[in-house]
Amino acid sequence: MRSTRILIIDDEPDFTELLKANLVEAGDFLVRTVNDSDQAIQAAREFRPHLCIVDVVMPGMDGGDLVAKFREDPVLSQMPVMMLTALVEENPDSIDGETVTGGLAFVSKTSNFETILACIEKHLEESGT
Amino acid sequence: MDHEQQEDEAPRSRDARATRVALAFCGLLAVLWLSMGPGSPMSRAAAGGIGALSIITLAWIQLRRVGESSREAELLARRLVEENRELARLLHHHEEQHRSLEHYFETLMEHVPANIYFKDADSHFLKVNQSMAGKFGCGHPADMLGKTDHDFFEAEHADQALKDEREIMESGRGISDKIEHETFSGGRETWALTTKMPFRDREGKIIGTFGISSDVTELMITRNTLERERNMLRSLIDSFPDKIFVRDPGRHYLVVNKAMAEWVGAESPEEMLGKTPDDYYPETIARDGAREDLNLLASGKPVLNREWTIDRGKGGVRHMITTKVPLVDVDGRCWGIVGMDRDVTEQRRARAKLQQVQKQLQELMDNSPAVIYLKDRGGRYRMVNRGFEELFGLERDDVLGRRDDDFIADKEAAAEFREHDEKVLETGGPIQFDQRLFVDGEPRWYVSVKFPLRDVDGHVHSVAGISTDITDRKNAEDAMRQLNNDLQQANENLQRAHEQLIQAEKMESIGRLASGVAHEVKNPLAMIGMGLELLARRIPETDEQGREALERMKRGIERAKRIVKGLVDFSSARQLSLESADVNQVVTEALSLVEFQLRKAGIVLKEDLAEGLPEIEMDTTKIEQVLVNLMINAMQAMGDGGGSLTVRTYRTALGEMKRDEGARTAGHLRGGDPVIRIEIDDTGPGIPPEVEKKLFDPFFTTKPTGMGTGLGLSVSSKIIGLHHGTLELFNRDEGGARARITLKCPDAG
Repeated sequence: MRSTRILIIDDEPDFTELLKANLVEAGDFLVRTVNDSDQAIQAAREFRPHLCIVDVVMPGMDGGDLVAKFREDPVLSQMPVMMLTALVEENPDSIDGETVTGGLAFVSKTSNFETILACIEKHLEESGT
Repeated sequence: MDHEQQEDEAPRSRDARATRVALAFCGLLAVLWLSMGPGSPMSRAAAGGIGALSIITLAWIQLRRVGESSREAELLARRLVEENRELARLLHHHEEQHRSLEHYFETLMEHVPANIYFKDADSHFLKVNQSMAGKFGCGHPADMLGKTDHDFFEAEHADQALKDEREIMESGRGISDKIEHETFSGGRETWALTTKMPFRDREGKIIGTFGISSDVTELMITRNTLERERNMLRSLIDSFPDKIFVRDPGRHYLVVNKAMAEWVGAESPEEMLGKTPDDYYPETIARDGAREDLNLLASGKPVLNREWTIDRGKGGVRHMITTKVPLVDVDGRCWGIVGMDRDVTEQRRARAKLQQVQKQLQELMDNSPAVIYLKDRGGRYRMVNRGFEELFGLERDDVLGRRDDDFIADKEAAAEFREHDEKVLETGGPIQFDQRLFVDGEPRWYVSVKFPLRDVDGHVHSVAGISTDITDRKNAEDAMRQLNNDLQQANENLQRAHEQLIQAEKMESIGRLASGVAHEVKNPLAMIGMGLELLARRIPETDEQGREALERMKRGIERAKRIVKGLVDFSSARQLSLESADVNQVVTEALSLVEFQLRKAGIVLKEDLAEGLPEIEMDTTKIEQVLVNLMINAMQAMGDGGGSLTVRTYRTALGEMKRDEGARTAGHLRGGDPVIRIEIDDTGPGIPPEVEKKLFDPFFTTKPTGMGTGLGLSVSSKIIGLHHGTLELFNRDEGGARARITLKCPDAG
């Protein structure tokens, strides 16, 4: 069985590497990280991830603009995206701590790894991966 | 007989001459006898002498004639016998006459009430009568004989009497009707009306003085008294400023006083006597006066205070009043008129002026909007103004002379008025007070001043009052005060708004900063979290020490996350998620979070949680966050030295609050509200005064660098504020600080 591809776009290499390491250890994930949002589209086209995890606050193009670009991209428009950002807190009102707004799920970056993992799996499930 | 007569002519004439000499001598002796008084040795000697001399004379005549002729002698003898007989008869007759005279004299001397005396040339008393002896205090006239005035009188009078007597003796002229003031030795004083005459012997030689005097002491006393009274009356009428006169029916002045004389321009009162008003007054006035006098004399009715005027030229027109009364003698006949003219010009002027002043005063009072009045000491109104009339709806004639009680229906008010009056009378000073009176059922406010009025001697005779209606002013004042209060309130609100704005701006910027910071902090936190996750899987279950270290790190991350979350909460001012909760349970949960640290710091925990507290609506997470925050603060304040932390909950009713406390927050606390309190007491050093004000400022911290964020109290305060509660921090009297959370408690329960 082919591994699940996850693309992480965040300007913090330390964070992306640690998340990648955890994901890799936690399950059958093939994780690729991009620390420059300008290279994200190219990377996504090449990597064709099952889920793209995007930070919001990034130098250059921010997460929001990037997702908009994905949506405009004929190849990437249907790519599942999960926002992982320090801008939001864990939503106490949702079971998984997500905040869904504008058709996008926001997960707090400071959430426990388990929480983040649960959210990732949920989105993968939703997209039928 | 003619023959005999011719024959005997020569011897007879000779004899006749001898006989006459003898008779003369006898006469002299008789006078002597008489003058000596009957029975005296001298008079007896004189009588004897008379007889002997007669015989000798006759014998001598007889002897001479024997030789001439015996017939002749015989005739002569017969005639001599005849003559002798005649002489004896004559003598007897004289003697009788003498005795009778003596009797008269003695009777006179004895009984006449006048004092009679004879003095010799040296002023010794020769003879005095009984009355005189009595007056001089001697029992018998004989006791005074040989004495002088000096024996009886003080020297002054005695000397004068002596002088008088010497003058009389020298001049031969008597003194008639002299009034003498006699002072007896011993001080008795008498007056005598005396006539003193020279006392002459038969030859007219002055041999002394004699006098007759009457005691006029009573008369003199009466006269002096009368004199004094007359003088007194004279002085009295002369001292009158009124013009007093007495006129006879013919209008001649009998008596006028000085004022009258001066008034008509006479030199003296005496000058006017006998003259009539025609001499002094203009014709018309004199005529009117004369007509009036006639009526008065005819009717006997007095004229009382008739007014008249007279043009006195330079003196101007004078207003006079005259009173005239008839003078009636014992028979009821009118013998004159006594009258009095009084110049009342000044009086009239003064009266006119007084009336004018009174009128002015009344007008001034009437034109004042104030209520003005004047009462005497007895509380009777003496003067009121129009304002007074209008206030009480009474005419002044209904008020004057009456007391408050007589016309003020409100007895309480009347009593109060009287009380004020009495206070003024008692203290003699003014008083001021506010008064509420009902006018037409409407309450009106008056400010009243009451003050004493004094006469020239300084005695308080009246109480005056001025009351001014200040209702409008008072209302305006109240409105103004209200306005002022509102303004002040508005100002305070503005001030607070301003402060809040500043605070909000501060918060805003802090919020922005915080969210930035939070974001920046969260990233590394996320990294650490991820790292920890990775590491956790590397540490075997058996490595307890490693696992514990992991747990601690995780807790640290959790704490850091909480702080960051707090920062974000603070900046985002999130809505609270309220639920009904038990305060004590929240407190217990908070305590469980710090329990470990408490133990570590050796701090004793004391719980004093009231039972049965009602559940209240709150965001338990946030309240818990606040409590933890406060507990950590308390622990840090106590440092490493240990101490005790007391956590207390209780229910109470709120006392008075600082006026602006939560005033602008909906549902804010008010005095009297039922509240639940959570108090956290430490035994640390307390809050230094200089930091008290800055306690709730964001990023203000007293903790050493790295120990605190400076957000704890500001976030806590904000959270409690969102609950419409208050967070206070203050020093306890017994030492240490107290954090107090006050939350509104539902009424029921």
